[in-house]
Amino acid sequence: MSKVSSKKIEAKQIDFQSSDNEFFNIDVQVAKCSGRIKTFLEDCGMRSGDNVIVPLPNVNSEILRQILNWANYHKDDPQPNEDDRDEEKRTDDISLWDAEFLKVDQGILFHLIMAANYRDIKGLFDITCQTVANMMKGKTSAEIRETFNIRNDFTPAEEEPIGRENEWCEQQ
Amino acid sequence: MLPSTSRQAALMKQHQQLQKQQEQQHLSPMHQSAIIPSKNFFLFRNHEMRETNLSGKDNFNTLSDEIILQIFKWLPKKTLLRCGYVSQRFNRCASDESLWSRLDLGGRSLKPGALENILKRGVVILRLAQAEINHPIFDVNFLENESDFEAKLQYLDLSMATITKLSLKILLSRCRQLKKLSLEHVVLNDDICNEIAKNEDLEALNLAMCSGIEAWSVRKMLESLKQLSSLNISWTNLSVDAVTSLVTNITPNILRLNMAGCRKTMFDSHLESLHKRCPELLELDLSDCTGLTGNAINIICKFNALEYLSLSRCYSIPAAAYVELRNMSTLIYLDIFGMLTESTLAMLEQTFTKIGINKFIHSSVARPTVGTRRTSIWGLRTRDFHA
Repeated sequence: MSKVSSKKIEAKQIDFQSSDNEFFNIDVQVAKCSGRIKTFLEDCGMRSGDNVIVPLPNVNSEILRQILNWANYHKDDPQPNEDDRDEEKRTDDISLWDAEFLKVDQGILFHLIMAANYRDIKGLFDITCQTVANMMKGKTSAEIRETFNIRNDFTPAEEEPIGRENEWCEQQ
Repeated sequence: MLPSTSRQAALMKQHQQLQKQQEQQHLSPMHQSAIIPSKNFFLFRNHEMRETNLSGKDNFNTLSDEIILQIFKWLPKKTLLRCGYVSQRFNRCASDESLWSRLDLGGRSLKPGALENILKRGVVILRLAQAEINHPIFDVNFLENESDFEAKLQYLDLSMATITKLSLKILLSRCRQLKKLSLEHVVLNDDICNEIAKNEDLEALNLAMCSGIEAWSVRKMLESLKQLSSLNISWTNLSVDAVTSLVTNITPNILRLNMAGCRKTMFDSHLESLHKRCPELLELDLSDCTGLTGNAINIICKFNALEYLSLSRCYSIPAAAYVELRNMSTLIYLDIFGMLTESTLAMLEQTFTKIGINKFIHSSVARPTVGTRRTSIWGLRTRDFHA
């Protein structure tokens, strides 16, 4: 984004409207954790005094409150560098605060993943995905199915060749 | 959006009722001034709750394949393989090529046919150092039905692997995009070298301590490997003919060359040919080439870019000849282990103020792993993200 367009954002606060019609008045700085909202604000070039309401039709107030809570805590984090690749990241890189924040019901966790993906909130998207991955690590396929209520839709005839294809080493 | 636990469901219901009441009373929607949880709001921070899914709903159904791949990319390969059994969709996602570009099976014992399934997943960087690869690597049906199959492998480390010559030949016959290859201490033959030669993009080739390299193979490989910048062919029992083949066919693009251990088969005339072909060499290891004489030093002085030189245990070179090397302006390191007494060495160090003497015991030319670092090959990570 060019610097010219970001200068237009002078308003300090904006309102979010959740799918269940709850309003959240928040700092622009916090709102900009979402790449998509940042672009939106820059595109509409709002000025101070404008009463901007951003409707978020696919985020309910519960999820939105969680996201804003996370964004508020992380608002002063350095902007993720474009060149920062996932090369050296690890799944135990989740900070204590984030780990505590993500101790939520599985349904909420998945809603956060979807919202973070749709709203382009990279930091939140990464830690929520890592958290789900951590819930799968070390589990057998049956345990994974149980944890996430996944239905086994293989026929026994289909299962057999997969077993052969996936066993590579003598002692796994 | 449906709440996913019964407690929340109750709360949500309560919340909806409240909203209804407000609407009935013609009140405007709740307008909050700060992110303070309302009285109807609880945060459910309970680990056990997340682990046992109370809603009975498969939350993965709400995610796209793209998002599932973003979750799977954090999984170790072992879990990824287990995901393959979970459901049809998980199987499809877990097999996605994007998740399999790097794989480390160093030191493992691979079942017959395993390599076929690994290569079919599109692995690009594969570490099989010290692995035991059991015959056959491809199923007969696969070889017949997939005669055009080409592996995506670009970086392959088979150092000290146990693999039959036939298996290795068949494996390499499916590799045409290799950029770096290590076969250190593996038994080769002409057929295998012929397959190596067909990887024309090869930049680094480590054949240290391999057996079975004949003059014909050397010529075949070096005639076609024009992009080669690093070659380690040390201690391979090269014959005089093989050394001649090497110095007359090697690409002028070569920068690092290790031909240590050509005992009595490498002569000053070979070095002269090498200089004519590759005057820009940066690194040259001629340790244990006992056929070289004092005249070799004069030839070496003509390499105008040489930074590293090893002449350890070249016993036919008289100690006095080394002094000539002090005129080489580009030289940074000189290894001459086993050649000089402590006191002569100290004197030489005083003369060669800008050159580090005897700093490296092992050569790093074309080697995938150097020192204790074993999780990367040629600087490229092979392991999973770990937790």
